[in-house]
Parts: sequence; structure tokens; C-alpha cells
Amino acid sequence: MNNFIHPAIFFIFGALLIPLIPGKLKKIYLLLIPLLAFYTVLTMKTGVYAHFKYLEFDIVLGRVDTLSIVFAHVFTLMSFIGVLFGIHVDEDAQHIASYFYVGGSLGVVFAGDYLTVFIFWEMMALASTFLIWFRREPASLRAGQRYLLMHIFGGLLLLAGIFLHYKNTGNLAFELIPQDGAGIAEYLILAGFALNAAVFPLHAWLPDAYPEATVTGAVFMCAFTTKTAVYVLARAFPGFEVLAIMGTAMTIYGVCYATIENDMRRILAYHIISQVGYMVAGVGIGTELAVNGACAHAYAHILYKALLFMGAGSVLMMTGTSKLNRLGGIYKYMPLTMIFYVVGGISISGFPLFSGFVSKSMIVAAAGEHHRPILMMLLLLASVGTFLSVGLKLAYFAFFGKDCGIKPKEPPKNMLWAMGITSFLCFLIGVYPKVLYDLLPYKEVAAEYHPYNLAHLSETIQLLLFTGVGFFWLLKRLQPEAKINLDFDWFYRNIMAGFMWFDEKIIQFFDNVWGNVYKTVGIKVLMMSIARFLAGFDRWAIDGVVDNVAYGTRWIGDKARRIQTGNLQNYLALAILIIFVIVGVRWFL
Amino acid sequence: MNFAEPIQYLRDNLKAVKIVMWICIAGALAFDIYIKVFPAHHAEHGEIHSFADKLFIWAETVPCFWSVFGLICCILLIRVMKGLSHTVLMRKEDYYE
Repeated sequence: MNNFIHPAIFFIFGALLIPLIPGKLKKIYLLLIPLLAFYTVLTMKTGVYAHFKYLEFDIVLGRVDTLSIVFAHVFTLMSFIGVLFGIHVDEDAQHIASYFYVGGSLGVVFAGDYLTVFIFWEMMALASTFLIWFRREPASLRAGQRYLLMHIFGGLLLLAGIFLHYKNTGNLAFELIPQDGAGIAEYLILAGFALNAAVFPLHAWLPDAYPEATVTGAVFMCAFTTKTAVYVLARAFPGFEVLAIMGTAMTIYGVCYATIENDMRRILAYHIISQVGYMVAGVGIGTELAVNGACAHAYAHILYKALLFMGAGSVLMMTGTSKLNRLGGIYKYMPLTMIFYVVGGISISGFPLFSGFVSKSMIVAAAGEHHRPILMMLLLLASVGTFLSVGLKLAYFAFFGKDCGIKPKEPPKNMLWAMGITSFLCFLIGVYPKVLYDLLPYKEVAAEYHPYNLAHLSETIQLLLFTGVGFFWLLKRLQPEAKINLDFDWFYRNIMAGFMWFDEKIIQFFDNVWGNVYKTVGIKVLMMSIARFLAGFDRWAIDGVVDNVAYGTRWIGDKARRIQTGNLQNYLALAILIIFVIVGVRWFL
Repeated sequence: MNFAEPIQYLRDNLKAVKIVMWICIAGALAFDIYIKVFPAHHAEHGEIHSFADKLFIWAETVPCFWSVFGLICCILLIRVMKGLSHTVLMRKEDYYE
């Protein structure tokens, strides 16, 4: 265990100390912990640490390799940005929840066995639920409950898969699973992971819950849950065909809904599905370039999606609404927020010089190299939708468009700083992709990839410019409407409602019937019994006491005569039986 | 510094901004035609596996293909999804309550 400190330790134990630290020191402490964790990730050497046996299981808490480092790197960096963005929040519990959440995802990233993965997996699910509940709106409470139920369901799929996998193979090592050897156990694990990655059709929890989270909580949530899932998929399931197809479907599905939604944060949430789709597709294609692309895109995506959620959250916090139909023209009052949001918007759309350009193109290129032209075309279609919905529609209707009459102020300084730092990082990765490419798992492949070539530049600029033309052409048709759109959450909302109905109507009905039966029949029977008992008591007890003293004496005498068989075994058995009865009676009373 | 001023300036001169954008578009198209007509190097496509591969390689050589692709995709997305939303998916905001 030479000089490996698990960065999750800082967060999990650090969270417990938060309530004890007074006043201003607390803010410094909150920022210091992510920096310490980030430093330990920077100085980490590859290897297997914290490996021990527990109840016959091989537990590995610290498996450090290039794949885990890239995710730990961005997670700790993001935790610093997230904490800075939320440092003005005075409620300790919110900070504690986000610390546990980050700690959970770091635990998963360094886990070398399925048990550890599962434990940290559940820690993430639980901690993130509190980030929704702390908004304290009735809608948030309900959305958080649905979110938790979905994640418990996903966790159960994962656990079932782990048990079956253990039964089949006899070990719990969290390693690459070859597609040929995958049976029902492996696909159950895959489904558990896929639920967290919001793979269609297990995705509906994401746009259901994220828009209801606290402003600062949503910034954490958009970074950790789905990207941890991308990590575990990249670890165990690269090259699974089903992921390539489902991932591509997700990219399209997400932008389709993002085009028609009205709530800013719901648009961004749908857009996470689309972006995670790129990563899932990259993992599914499974070549070295594609897995590199998935990691690079996860890294870049965490930063710009957090930036977008920070921008949208700032607007929500300062104006009190995140509905596009009620916003418009606030660029005059929140110009910095707008600029940072637009940086996020053009990063996610893959503008040259910004981070999306150097990460997304890697996955698209991998699809091309792997002779998947249809996947490649669909991925490009999704990138058109990205710019349309997040880069143009949301920015236009929130910050420009017709004036809504609200005159908000800029958000607090710490929020602006967090957005500014993230904007800078998006730009830095875009102009100097080497900082990102040097972190990737297959460094040689990454070094050979050059995003800035003429054909790619020309392709991207054309796509973006003509998306813009199409947007302004059909601007009237895109007017935001104060409506919601049905999605797969319709099913589980109705299943839950059906369950409640079943509980309230059917089970309650039987309960009532039983109650009535008990009341009417039971009481009658009881009354009858009492009457009979009293009559019997009179006949048997009162008369009986008198008569039966005589009968009883004769009966006991008769029995006692029979017990005395003279057989020692019988005497012993009887004695032991009596002891048992006495001990038993004593035990239960 | 008031960051809103430069944005306001651009909005006040919307016509000029539009002209600049159209010039950019024309420039992008010209640039694409240039690199397709005088390719610096032929892209290596490796083995051609399927009809889709062939179609894709053909598409890559057509000048301004991605402009048309981008525009069509954008229009389709808006029209199809707005249509689907209005006919099937859309509900009142308090639908679930």
C-alpha cells in the first residue's frame, strides 16, 4: 500500500466533519477537500492497492489504471467546481449529500470487485436522492421518490447479475467481459449499469428527476451518475454490439425531446441522454479509438454540461423560473451568465476551438473507421440536434427573444467564478487537446488522432452553419409552449399509481371486508362462545368441581397406575419431557 | 465593465450581423468546394464492406454535402418532433397531478 490514498476517503470522512467546522473556515474546508483529492489523483501511480480478503471474497478498493485515472481526474476536478458553485449554500446537509455522492462515484471508479462497486453504487443513488429532496418542493419530493425507486430497481438488477455471475464463475473480479461468454448474469449486470447510463428505455428517471433537483445539486448530478455508468460500461463491456446500437438511438432520442421541451433544465437533462449516447456508442464500438473517444467525451462532457446546468440554474435562481415560455430578453441583466452559457452551448455543439470538437469527433471517426457509416451519419444527425436545441433554441428563448419583463441580477460571485473556470477549461481543451489526450487509456492511439484537419473542419462548420439557417428559418415553429411531453416515465408513474390504487382499493377492500367479517361474525361467535362457555362453566365447573373431584381422583389413580410400568426407560423419558416442558414454558413466558 | 453593451451593439446592428453570417456561409461553402475539388490527399478508406460504405464514401466526395445534410436534418427534426408533440405527446403541465 505504498502511498496510495483513496480519494473517496477525503469525501466520505470529510463529509462527517462538515457540521463541526465553524463559520468561514467551513467554506475553505469545503473547497480544500476536493483540491486534496485532485492532488492525490494527480500523484497516483498505476497498480492494485487496498487488496484484502473479507469473508472469502477478494476485495479490491484501489485498482488504479489509465481508465480509472481519467475518470477520477475529472470527477475530483468537477467536485471542486461544483462545491465552488454551491459554496453560498448554508445548509450543511446539502454539502454532506454532495460529498457522499462524489465519494460514492470515486469508490466505483477505483473498485476492483463487484461487491465494492455495488456498495458505492448504492451510496451514490442514496446521496443523490437527497440532492433532489433538498429543493423541498412537493414536485421534488415525488420526483426524488421515483428516482430512488428506479435506482433501487437498477441496483437489484445489478445485484442479481452479480450473484449469478459469482455462482457461474466463482469470483467477483470486476474485469472485462467478452461478448461471446456473456450469459444472463452478465446481461443483468449490463442492464443495471445501463439504467444509470440512462440507456433507452431505462432513461426516463433522468429528465424526470434532474429538473426538480436543487440548483447546485443538479450540477453535481449531471456529472456523476451517468458518467460513472459510462466508466463501468467501458471497464466491463467494450465491444458489445447492443451498446453501439442503443447508444446511437439514445443520441437521437435525447435531441428529439430536447427540441420540443419547454423547461430549460429538462432540455439539458434530455440532452445528457443524447451525449451519454455518444459515450455508450463509443464503448459499444469498442475499438481503442472508440473507447478513447468515450473517455474523452465523458471528460469534456462533464465540464460543459455542468457549465450549462450552472447557467440554467443561475437563471432559475435569479428569475424564479426555468420555463422558456416565461423567459426572454434577460441578456441585458445577466450578460456574464449568458456568455458562459453560450460557451457551454458551443462546446457541446462541437464548435472548433472548444472541447466538444476534439472529443465527440473521436467517437464519430471511430464509427467511420470501424465501417459503421450508418451509425456515423446518425451520430452527426444528433450533433445537428445538439446545436439546434441546446446551442440555439435554449439560448435564444432564454436570453434573447421577446422581453419577458423580469429584471434579474447576476448570480453571486462564487457561481460566476465556477462558470468562468469551467468555460476556460472548455476552451483550453479545445485549443490544446493534448492536455486531454494525454490522460486517455490508449495514449498511442490518441496521439495519432488529429481533430483539426481540413475535411473535419469543413464538415463541422457546414453542419453548424446550416443548422443555424434551419433554426432561424423555422423560428416561429419552435416557440416554446407551456406544456409537457409524454415519455417512458408515463409507464412507471402509472405502474406506481396502479400499485397505489391496488393497495388503496383492492387490499383496502379485503382489509375492510375482513374487518367486517371479524366485527359481525367474530363478535357473534364470540358472544355465542361466551354464552356457551358460561353455560358449560356452570354445568362442568360448578357442578363438575363437586362431582369431578371424585371422578378426577379415580382418573388420576387409573393413569398413575398405567404409568407405573416398571420400565426405567419410560420413567426417564417422562422426567426429561417434563423438564423440557418446564424449560420451554419458562423460555416463552 | 458592462458586458451587456457589446451584445446590445450587435443586436442594434442586426442587419450587419446577418450579412456577416451569410458571408461566413458563402465562405464555408467555397472552402468545402475547394478542398473537394483539389483534395490534398485521398482519404484511406480501407476495405469497402457494404453498400452503406460505398454510399458514404460517395457522399464525402460531393461538395457541400454536409450543408445539405445539416439543413435537412435540422428541418426534419423540428417539423417531425413538433408534429409528433402536437399530435401525440403533448399534455398540460399539470397532467400528472
